[in-house]
Formats: sequence, structure tokens, C-alpha cells
Amino acid sequence: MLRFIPILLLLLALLPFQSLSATDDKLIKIGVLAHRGHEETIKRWSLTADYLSEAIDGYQFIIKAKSLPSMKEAVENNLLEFILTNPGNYVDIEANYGATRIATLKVKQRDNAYTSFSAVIFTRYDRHDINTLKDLRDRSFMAVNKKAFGGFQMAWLELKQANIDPFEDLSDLQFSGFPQDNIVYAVESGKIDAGTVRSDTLERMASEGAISIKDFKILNEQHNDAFPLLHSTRLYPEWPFAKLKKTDDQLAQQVAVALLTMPVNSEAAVKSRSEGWTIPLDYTPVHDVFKTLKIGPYAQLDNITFEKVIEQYSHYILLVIVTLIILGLVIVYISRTNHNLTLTQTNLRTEIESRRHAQSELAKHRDTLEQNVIKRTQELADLNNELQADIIARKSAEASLKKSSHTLQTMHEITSSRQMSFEAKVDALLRTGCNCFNMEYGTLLQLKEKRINVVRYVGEQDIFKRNKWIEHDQLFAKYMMLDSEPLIIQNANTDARYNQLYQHTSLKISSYLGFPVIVAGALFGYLEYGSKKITNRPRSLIDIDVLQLISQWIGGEIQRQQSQDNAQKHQADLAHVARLGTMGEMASGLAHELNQPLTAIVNYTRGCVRRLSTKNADMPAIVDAMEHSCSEAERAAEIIRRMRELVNKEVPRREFNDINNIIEVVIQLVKPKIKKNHVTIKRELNTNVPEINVDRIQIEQVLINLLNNAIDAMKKTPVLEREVIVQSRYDQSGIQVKVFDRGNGLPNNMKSDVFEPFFSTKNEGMGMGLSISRSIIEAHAGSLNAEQRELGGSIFSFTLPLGSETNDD
Amino acid sequence: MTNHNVYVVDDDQAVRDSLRWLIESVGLHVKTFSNGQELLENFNEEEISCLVLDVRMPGISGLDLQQRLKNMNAKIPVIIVTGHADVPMAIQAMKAGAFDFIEKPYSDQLLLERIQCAIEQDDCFKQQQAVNNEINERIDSLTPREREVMGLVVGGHSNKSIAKELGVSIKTVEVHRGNLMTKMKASSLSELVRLVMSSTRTTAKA
Repeated sequence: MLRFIPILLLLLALLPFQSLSATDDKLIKIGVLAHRGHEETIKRWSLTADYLSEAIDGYQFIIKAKSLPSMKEAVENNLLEFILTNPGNYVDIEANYGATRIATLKVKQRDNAYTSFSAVIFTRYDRHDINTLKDLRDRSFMAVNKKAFGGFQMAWLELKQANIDPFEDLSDLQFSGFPQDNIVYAVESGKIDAGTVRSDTLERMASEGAISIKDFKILNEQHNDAFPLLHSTRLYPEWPFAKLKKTDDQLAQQVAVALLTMPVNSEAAVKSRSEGWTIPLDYTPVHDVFKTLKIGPYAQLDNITFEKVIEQYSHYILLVIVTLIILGLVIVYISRTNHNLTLTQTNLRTEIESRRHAQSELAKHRDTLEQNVIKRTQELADLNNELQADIIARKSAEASLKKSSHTLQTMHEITSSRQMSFEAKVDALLRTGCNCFNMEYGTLLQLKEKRINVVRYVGEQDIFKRNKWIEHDQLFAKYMMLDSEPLIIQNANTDARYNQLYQHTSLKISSYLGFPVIVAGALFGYLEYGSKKITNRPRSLIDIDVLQLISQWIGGEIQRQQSQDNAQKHQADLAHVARLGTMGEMASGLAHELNQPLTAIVNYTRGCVRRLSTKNADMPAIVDAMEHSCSEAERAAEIIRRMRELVNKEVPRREFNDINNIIEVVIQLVKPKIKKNHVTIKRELNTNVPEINVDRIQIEQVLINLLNNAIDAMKKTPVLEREVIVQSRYDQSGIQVKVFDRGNGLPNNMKSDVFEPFFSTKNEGMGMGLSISRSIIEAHAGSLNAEQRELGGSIFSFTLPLGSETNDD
Repeated sequence: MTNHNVYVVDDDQAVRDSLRWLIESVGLHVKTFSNGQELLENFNEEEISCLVLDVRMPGISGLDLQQRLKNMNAKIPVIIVTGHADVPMAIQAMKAGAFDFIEKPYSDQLLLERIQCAIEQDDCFKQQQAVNNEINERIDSLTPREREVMGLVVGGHSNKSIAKELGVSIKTVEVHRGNLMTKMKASSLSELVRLVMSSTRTTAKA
């Protein structure tokens, strides 16, 4: 008996779930989606199972509470006969495992029963910023569960159709889990902008007094007379009761009948919170939801693309295609071969005949053809050689072009360089020429009275020594004509014209290239390149151009330097001449300077003599006076020291001159300084000024002095403002020349001092410039004046009276 | 001689001081000024006997100063000293009434001599000035009628013709004549004529 105790206990344990009398009956398992927990599910549906067990003989129905995954697993493993689940899950199972709905639940919502349901999307009543579904973009949103059909997926479809992807376009998407009441509270409190719950949730909570419907705003509200509850989405059928694929149809029919006949007020119905069951409804809308959202059974829908198929079945497809192609080809080949074979057979017969004939003909022609071929081949070979020679020539021309372009570029770089001195530039050009002409040396020669001086020399071998004089006769240069033709010698030894000189000299220059260097229209010397090697390459026009360019540049540069030297020399001469010329005027200024101490010395000593001769001399006073006398003598000596540079007086030469011309010449003379100091010079010249009788050199000296002063005065002026205006004017009183600067202006109270000898604001200045200038202008009976310029800077002007007497003394 | 003051104006201190030294060696008093303005501010015609002036000076030049003194009616001898042998300048100075024009460097002998001369001239002038003042005072003391009579007397008219001219009796003319001779302190007609001639005052026309 003890052995039966465990079995008994087991039976007892099973008691609440199984009818005692049904032990022999076949066990039918109904899988119920337990979206609110297993216990709740069992509690809700066990009476329905009992009802079915009672209604259908021979079967014992039990409820198996299943979560979504376990439901799927159970269906897959054929552990269930029936399922009772939400539309979403049902559609999934229907699609994947072949379930068939047999009844749809009539859910009792308080006073009414509904065979469909919906979802409501809502926000707080006072959210004026959210009025439509579109306003939910970038808002926070709460639903119960990602997989909940009524609790989320229905709303998802609506959002998607409002172009909002809840996973992308919301600022926050939260899943609260059951119960859905949490969502309502979250929205009510404002923690979440909006939410969705199954239809009737709001009404139920309001009826329980938990919330007030007025506090919420329903988004996308739908109206349907058959469905008076608040809802935002379309209507979907309620939970179906379905049979699975392998479940007996007979049984299913019995179950369907039993369910449909379940009384509204039966215990089972009440417990399941329904009013029984109705005929199965159309679940296509649910399918549509899944299709649109690509979830559930349609989850792979978006992934099934042509590429994927190709990828997955590529081997088979390829194999099939290849096989088909091969087959096709084989068929075509066989049919064509077959056709050809018959055709060929007939043709061959005639062909053989004609061949035989042709063969004899060919033999006849072969001999003549052979002759022609040999002849033709020879011609082609000749042509080929010609072409190849042409190609080589072209290549070398191209290479030489490239080389010359490089040479020209190098020359440009050399000549435009700011750092290099003239000598360095010439050397660089000689070297460039050596490379370009393939010569061993390059040199610039200067011709001086039939003798040649090597000015610059560049080369590997010591053919020439720099600054060595060479007899003109010993050089090829003597053959050079003075026109712009270069002297080109390819091989001096074999050239009859140059053979004698080649033999005669020890230099043994075989290859030579020379060009005259012309400076200011006269022959300066020669630019020449030479080599002991014989050059095979003929000199091209480009070579000659390069040679000519170098020669011309050197010639031009020498000319420029010479004129620059001349200008500098002229300026120095001018300054010297002016210094001599203004001696007299200066002397008078200096004489006054010197007279002062001399006068004082005489006075002191005479005073002493007089006192000493009276014999009642006050000795300390006399010593004091003698001291004074000595220091005055020293002062005089100092003045004389300053005068030492002045030499002798020159008689001024007066001629009629155009003052504007003098101004222009002076501007040109001062130009280097103007440029160096970045000064702009502006001329305001009256072209109607008559010629005036002046000592040109002296007036030039005054102007140079004034311009130099003007430029020096602007050393601290911003570069852009450095402007000197030179003005010439003319009226009855005479000619007036003004020089405006933008410098520091005149020192205060020193307007008259500036003309005093030895007065200077410049550290390096002697202080003689303006003093001399004034003396010169006064000697011309004019006046030299200084003014402060209103704009800043100063104006120095001088006048020269017309036709007035001149003070030549 | 010891009471004579020589004024020296020169911008060069060494020249100024050495001139003082030289001029004082002959017992003259010297006052030095560094420029014309200083002199004008301290000018005292009674005190000064001679002015030694440099031409080239900053501010008022020597020639300008000479001109200003002339405009002030100051009649002191001016010796112009210059380092420049400048003829036009010398002419201008002499025209303006300079006592002399001396070129630097000068001999002390010459300068002192010219200063002495200038002082003598000044003394002379001042004495003359004093005499003139005396004569003028005498003339001023005459009544209008006496002055009228004196003019006619000096003009060589006899008492008779004067009486006829003035429409008075000869006796009356004689009384006026006696009075004016006394007032003019003239002992003879020729002395009266000399006094009137040397006077700067214009006598009433006869």
C-alpha cells in the first residue's frame, strides 16, 4: 500500500487541474498566452477548459499558460492542440505553423461586449503642442511592451503612417511592462509626453476613479458607432481560439460549437471576462499590420531581396545557368556541324577540282611573286631605316628642346635673382652655357686696344687664367664679325679657315662658340665657349638664341652698371663742384663765426695790455681775462678745423636754364635714394616757366639738398605717407620752387636756426646744407624759406627773381 | 670822462665781456646787453653816452635797433660793429645816422678812439642841447608882443618901422625892445640875432 502513496499524492496534486472522472479521457491542452502572469491566466481560463471538458465527451481540456516564446516553442513541438492568444501571436503562428481560428472572443468591457479592440494614443489635455500624431516627433513615448499587439504594435502602425518611426524619430521610447495603468499615470504626471494603451484602459481607470478622462487628449481619435470606446487606431479582432495543424478537425468542430454556444452568463464566460464567443473573425488587418511593420511572420520580408536570393542560391543558379549554356552550345554546335558537314561534303568535291587547277596556277605565279616580295621587303627595310633615323632625330630634337627650355628657365632664374652680384650672375650664365652647349669652358672677354682681358672665366680646365691679357690675334674671336652672327666652329683642326690658328696656339680648342658683347652700341668684348673635344652635334638655332640672349643680357647689364656709375660720379662731382662753388657764400658765414672769437681775443689782450701799462693792474682780473682770451682762441681753432674742407672759390657760371629741366635732372639723381626710402615723388610743374639765368650746378645743389632733407625728414613717417611734392611756379616777381615733405616738420622756434651754419637735426649732418643753400639762393638775389606744413611736415621754398641783377661777388 | 657810460649790445657773450674789459681799461663805464629788446627796456638817454652795436643778432637786428632808437628821437651816437664787410649794410647804417661803422676784427685803438669821439660829440651835443634849452626858456618867457617885436628886430627893422608896422608909438617899441633884450640876456643886437638863430623854437613871424 505504501508503494501507492506517491502516486496518490501525485493525483492529489493534479486534482485542482483535472476532473477526477476524466482520468481516462484524452488530454487536450489549450495554450493560453499569459500576458498577465501564469496564475491569472489559469484563474481566468480554467473554467472555460472545464466547460469544454464537460461539453465534449471523451476529452479532458486543460489550460497551459504560455509566454510568447514558450508558446512558439510548444506549438513547434506539437505539445498543444489548441491555442488561445492575442491576434498578433495568432497571426504569427497561423503563418508559421498553420493554425486555424475557430472562434473569436467577445470581450466584456464593463457593460458591453466587443469582438474587436483597438489602441488609444493620448497625451495630457494641456499639451497644446501635441495635437496630431505628427507632433509626436522628438517627444517621449511610452508603451507596454515592444511585442504587445494592442499595447504597442497597433500604435506603431499609426505612427508609421504618420511618417514617424518610433525607434528613430522619438526622443525617447519606453516600455513600461504590465499593467498598462503605469503608462496612463506617466502621461498624467507629465513624465512622458504621450503613450498608448489598449482601448478601454482609460475608461476602466476612470470608472475606478483613478483618473479623469478630461485630463487627457486623444490623438488621431477614431469614431465608430459599433465601437464607442476611445480609440486612435483602426479596429482589430479580439483574441481567437484556434486549432493547430495536427489537431483533429472533428474535435475542433466540437470545440467551436461548444464555444459558440457558451452561455453569456455562464460561469466560464464571466470568469474569462467575456460574453462567450462568436464566429471567427477576419484577421487580415492583423496580417496587414505585421506586413507593414515587417514584424512577426513578416520580419524577414524586408530582408528577402533579389541579391539575398542570388547570394543564397548562387551555386545552384550558377550551376543551372552554366549547364543550360553548355547544353545550348552543344546543341547549336552539333546542329551547325551537322549542317556544315553535309554542305562541306558537296563543296569539297568541287573544291578539290578547282584546287588542283589553282595549284598549277599558283606554281606558275609563285616565282614572280617571290621576286616581288624580295623587292618589296627591301623597300620596306629601307623605309624603316629612314623612319628610325627620323625618330632618332626627332627624339634628339625633342631632348634638345627640353634642354633649352630648362636652360632658358635657369637663365631667367639667374638674371632675376636679387641676391646674386653681377659677377656671380655672369659666372652662373657661363656655367649654364657650358652645360647647354656641351662645352668645357665659358668666358667673358673684354677687348681693350687689340688685347683681350679675361673678365670672367668658368671651366674645368685651366685654359685661361683670369685677368690675364691675351693677344687678340691668338683667339678665334678675331674672326668674329661685328654683326649679330655667332662664330661657330665644329672642328678647328679640319676646318681650313681656322686650321692655322689651331695649329699655331697651344690651347688646341677644337669646338668653339662665340658672340660679340655690345655695350652702348660699341664692341665691349666677346662671350665665348670652347672645348678641346670635337662636338658632333650641329649647333641648333636654339643654341644660337641662348648664346645671343646671354651676350645681350651681359651687354645690357654692363651698360646699366656703367650708366649707374656715371650717375653716381656725376652726383659726387656735383657735390664737389657745389662745395667749391659755394665757398664764397660759406666763407662769409664762417667769417662771422670766426670774427666773434677773434674780436674777443683782441679785446681781452688789448684790455690787458692797457691795464698792465698803467702799472696799477688788478692781477687776478688780468689772469681771468687772459683765460677768457685763451678759450676764445680755442673756439676759433675749432671753427677753422671745420673750415678745413673748404678749398678755394670758384667763379660761378651763369646761363639761361629751364628750372623744370633742373628739377627733372635732380629727381633722376636722387632717384636711388627715393627708391631706397620708398618715397613717392610728385611733380607739380608749371610748364610755362621762362628760362632763368642761374648757375645750374649751384641750383641743382640746392635742390638736391632740399630733396635729400625732405627724404631724410620722413625716415619715421609711415611708408605709405612718404611723399615729396616738387612744385614750380611763376609770376611777375619770379620763379618759385617748393619742396613739400611729410616729415617731422620744423623744430619749434628753430625756423631761422635751420639756415645757420652747423645747425643740424641729423646725426650725420654737417649742418652746412641749408646754410650753403641759402647763400646760393641769396647770391642769385632770391630767398630761401622754410614753413611748417599744416598737414604735418615742412615746405622749403626758394625764389629766383627774373631778370634781376645778380650778386656775383 | 669817468661819468660816461658806454652801452654794448652783442649776442655773443665772449665779445660782450671782452668789450667791457677793453672799454673799462680806459676808465669808461660799460653796460652790456645781450639783445636789442633788453636795451630798449633799460634805455636811459641821460645816462648813455655811446652805443656799440653788433649788426647780426637774433631778434631785433643792429640796424633795426638803430632805427627804433631814431624813431624814439634818442640822439645818441651809435657805433655799428659788424663781421661782414657789407657795403649796402654800411650805407644803410650811415644813412640812419650811425656815428661810425667798424668792421670786425678791429683794432682796439680805432674802436676806443671812435668811442671817445662819440662821447665827445655826445657831450658837445648835450651841451648844445643845454644851451638851446636855455635860449628856448628865455624865448618862452617873452610875451607875445615882445616876441613879435623881437622877430622884427632880428629881421633888421628900425624902431620906427616896427612902430609903424605894429601901429604903436616908437616909445612903446623901445620899452618892448628893452624888456626883451633883458629877458634874452642879450647885450647887443648881434648877440640877440645869434641866440635866435641857434634856437630851435620858431619865433613868431614878423
